[in-house]
Amino acid sequence: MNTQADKDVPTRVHQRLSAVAPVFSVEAGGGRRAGDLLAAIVPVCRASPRTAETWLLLVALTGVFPTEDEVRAAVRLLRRHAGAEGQRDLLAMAAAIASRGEVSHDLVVVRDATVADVNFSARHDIHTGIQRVVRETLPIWRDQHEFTPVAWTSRHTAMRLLRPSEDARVFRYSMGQSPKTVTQTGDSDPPTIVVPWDCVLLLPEVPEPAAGQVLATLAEHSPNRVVAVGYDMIPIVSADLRPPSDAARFTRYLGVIKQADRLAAISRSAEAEFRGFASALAAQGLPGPEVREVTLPSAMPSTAPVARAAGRERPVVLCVGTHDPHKNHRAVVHAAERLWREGVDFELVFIGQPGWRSGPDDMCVSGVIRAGRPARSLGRVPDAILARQLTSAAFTVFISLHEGFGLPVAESLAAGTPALVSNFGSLQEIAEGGGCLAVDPRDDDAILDAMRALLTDGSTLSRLRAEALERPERTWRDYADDLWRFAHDTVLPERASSIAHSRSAT
Amino acid sequence: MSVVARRRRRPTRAAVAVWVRRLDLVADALGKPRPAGSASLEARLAEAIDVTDRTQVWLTLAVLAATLPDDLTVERTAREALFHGPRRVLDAVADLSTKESLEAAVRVVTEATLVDVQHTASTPFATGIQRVARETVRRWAAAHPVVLVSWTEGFSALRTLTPEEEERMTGQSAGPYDPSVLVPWRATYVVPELAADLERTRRLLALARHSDNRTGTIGFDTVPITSAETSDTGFAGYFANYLAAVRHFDRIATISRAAATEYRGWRAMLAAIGLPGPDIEPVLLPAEAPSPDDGALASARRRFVRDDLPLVLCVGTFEPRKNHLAVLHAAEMLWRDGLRFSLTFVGGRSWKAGRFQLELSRLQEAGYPVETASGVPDAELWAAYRLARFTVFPSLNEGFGLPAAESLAAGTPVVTSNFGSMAEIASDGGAVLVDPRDDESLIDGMRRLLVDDRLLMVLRAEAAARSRRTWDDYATDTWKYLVGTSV
Repeated sequence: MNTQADKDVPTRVHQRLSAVAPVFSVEAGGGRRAGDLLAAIVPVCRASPRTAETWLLLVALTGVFPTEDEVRAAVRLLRRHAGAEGQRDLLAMAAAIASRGEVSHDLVVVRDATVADVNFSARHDIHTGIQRVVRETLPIWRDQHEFTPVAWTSRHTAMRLLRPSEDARVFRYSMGQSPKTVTQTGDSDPPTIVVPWDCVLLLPEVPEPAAGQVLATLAEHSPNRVVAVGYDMIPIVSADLRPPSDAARFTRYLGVIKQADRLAAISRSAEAEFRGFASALAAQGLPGPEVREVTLPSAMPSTAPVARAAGRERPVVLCVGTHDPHKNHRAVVHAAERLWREGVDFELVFIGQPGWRSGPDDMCVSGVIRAGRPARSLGRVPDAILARQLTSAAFTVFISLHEGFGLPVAESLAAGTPALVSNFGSLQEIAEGGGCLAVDPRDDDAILDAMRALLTDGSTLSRLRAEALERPERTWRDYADDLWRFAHDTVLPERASSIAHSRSAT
Repeated sequence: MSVVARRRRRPTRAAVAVWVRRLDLVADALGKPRPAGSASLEARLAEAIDVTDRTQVWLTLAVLAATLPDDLTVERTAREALFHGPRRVLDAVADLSTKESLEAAVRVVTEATLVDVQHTASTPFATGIQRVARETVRRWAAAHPVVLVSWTEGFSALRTLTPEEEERMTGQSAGPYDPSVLVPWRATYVVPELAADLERTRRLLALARHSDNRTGTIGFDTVPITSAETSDTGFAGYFANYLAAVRHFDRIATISRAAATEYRGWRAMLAAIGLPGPDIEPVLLPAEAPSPDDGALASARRRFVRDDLPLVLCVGTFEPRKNHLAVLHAAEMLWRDGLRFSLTFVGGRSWKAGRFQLELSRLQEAGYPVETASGVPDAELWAAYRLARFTVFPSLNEGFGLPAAESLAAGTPVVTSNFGSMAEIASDGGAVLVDPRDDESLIDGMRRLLVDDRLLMVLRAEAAARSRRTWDDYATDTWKYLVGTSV
């Protein structure tokens, strides 16, 4: 903590107590000092049957969102001691909590409104699945609704207002044009922290693990409706295909989901996963969030439409996705090699960066490239090139072993290009809308037969192409509207979707 | 795992001779004639197995290399063998083999029940899980022919137990030590403990997925995933890999209905990856608190009873999930109200016990009759249960709330949580249920048992009337479910 910030501490404590005073029906004006405000607020906390008021008082005293044990400790302390003794102990506790923060912040209470945590998309230029969802959805909301987008302070101690550059990165993002500076450290001018109260708090991202504990505490103790988007359970269910540290990080997120009120699953498959998690919570007496499917849209990457090139001589089989083990690219390469050995002529193209356990030169496709097979790996490409590849491919292959949604398949179909997909989970769901062949991705022979059929049987391919073009379009606006409604409706409708394929937990 | 080919040294003649001998075991296991006389190892292999069949590749790698392969190795070997023939299987055998594995005696164990007790057999100490494994396996071994197994260094293969390990598990030594690497085949393979070592779970996954064995395990809880905030998050990665392995198992016997709820919730997630997951059935644990002799009773009275104060006992490791801070707070509020009782926590320090220790010291300095006791022998603990007016166990999540069950088995009422395994145990009577997340509810529950002698007597009678479930019952039931009936 620098001296400049230290000087500010008493002033800022006074600002924060004044900001929260109206919530406690305490008059803040008229030159009332911090001590007067505290003395007026503490009895309200003591008299409340709930823990929410104490949670808010701790935020105001410290400028830091408290943890579960801190809230409990403060509640118990105030129960034990009335009057000056309680206040003195509380201030000692607050000083310890405040030391977690880097600097002292001003505070604004947002009441009866909507707050959206977009920390990662605001602070990083990465633009894959989740950031795409944020950067497509939030600008649509801004045209129609009032809400406050927030990020976290540098030590993940509290939510705060966005800086202008961060706002641009969320709402006016275009690859290569947004500010490159990643604002991770050095809050030299402390941003104002945001405290939602009686709000809908939207979590469209997977929150930073470092914020998990205090966010879970907010969800449990504050009077906000926490609504999360649920993507998948890959780190838990397919842990064998991910680094063990993934699961450790992910359980911090599950700590938040455990206390959340609602969860919008991006597919029926993700719905089954999060419902499974929620049902397991019965063993600890918790209801878990209400889980509903709010399906992502199936749209092309937002770019100008691409004309389909006329009959190429050598068909391209396109495989889009990071080179991670669960994407099952190895099975694609194996089937391709078998087909080349059969004499089938095609080119195999991969788009996606190296992932866990693969470097640029030892991806599963590297071997066949070195062996001189017609195969290429383009790495990560701009949206325009992705769109061109999707449009010109004969078909795409996406036989992942675990997906929350399968964005590349949705994009392939939106481009009118058929896809070979896995016959379960979210990919099976997409296939039900037409334009796909679905196979067991653990069955090498089934993959081989399907790829051969798509390469050699023109009628199958043209039938699927026609189906792909017939698919009902679901737009980002549809998704944005559905998600907003799901978060804000007073009562949720009964579940629209059936999850007959999932097993009951009873 | 890099696919860049390792430089492979030509196998020695001695190694090839070992593999030729072991290949006969593979042929025996597959019910095929042993490959003939003078042919090369490669030709013999082609004769004995289908090199593209993953089950047969698993068996061949396991036996020839005396090393259990992981999933990726089985998959890659079978795929490469499709293009390049048995040579690639032998390459994989060579890659997996070490000096030690070449020297090992290998046995293929068929039509038997193997019980994997690696962790439990390795230590004379007993956590809750190891206690379950030890009590159960001892009874299984006495009643049925079982092969107890552990793992070689680095969890590369299964092996027989050392005499010392055997004695730890069964109370008697099996005789002369026969150190062998074991490969289960058309056998039943049971893990009665938590297997959370990464190498162990990776190889168990491949065993359950590719080999021709029935598999079963005991499911204790899913706390590392569903209550991760109350434990060291680093463990979650290991636990999730254990779940990845058991998603290919046939059966899980959970220690309570609550634990079954957790495991079934996890199994519901498997729809996302198109797998059905194992059968899951609860087999409730027993809880025994045998009557202590006069000596134990007297020594417990000296240790635990203060003056004429009624004793409130709280048993369990000092960690946040046990909710001990709520117990301290409730006790303080009740003392301030003028109620007279002493409070004793029995357990050891565990993860994040710091705040509990601080609060404990504060109350002790303020003169309240509260203390902790660690390293209490079983007999003395069972005596303490009987000396207590009641026990308190408001845990936030338990696969099986052993202290609640033990208290009731000793005839002493318990204040415990109104959900999960604790409510399940309480349903047979003798308990006051509270919401452990609501301090007022806990205070109220404890107050009732401190002031209401009639209620206490009713609950004591209920506790005494509970049917007694024994370790014999538990061992019989788990054997029946995990081994006895066909899947």
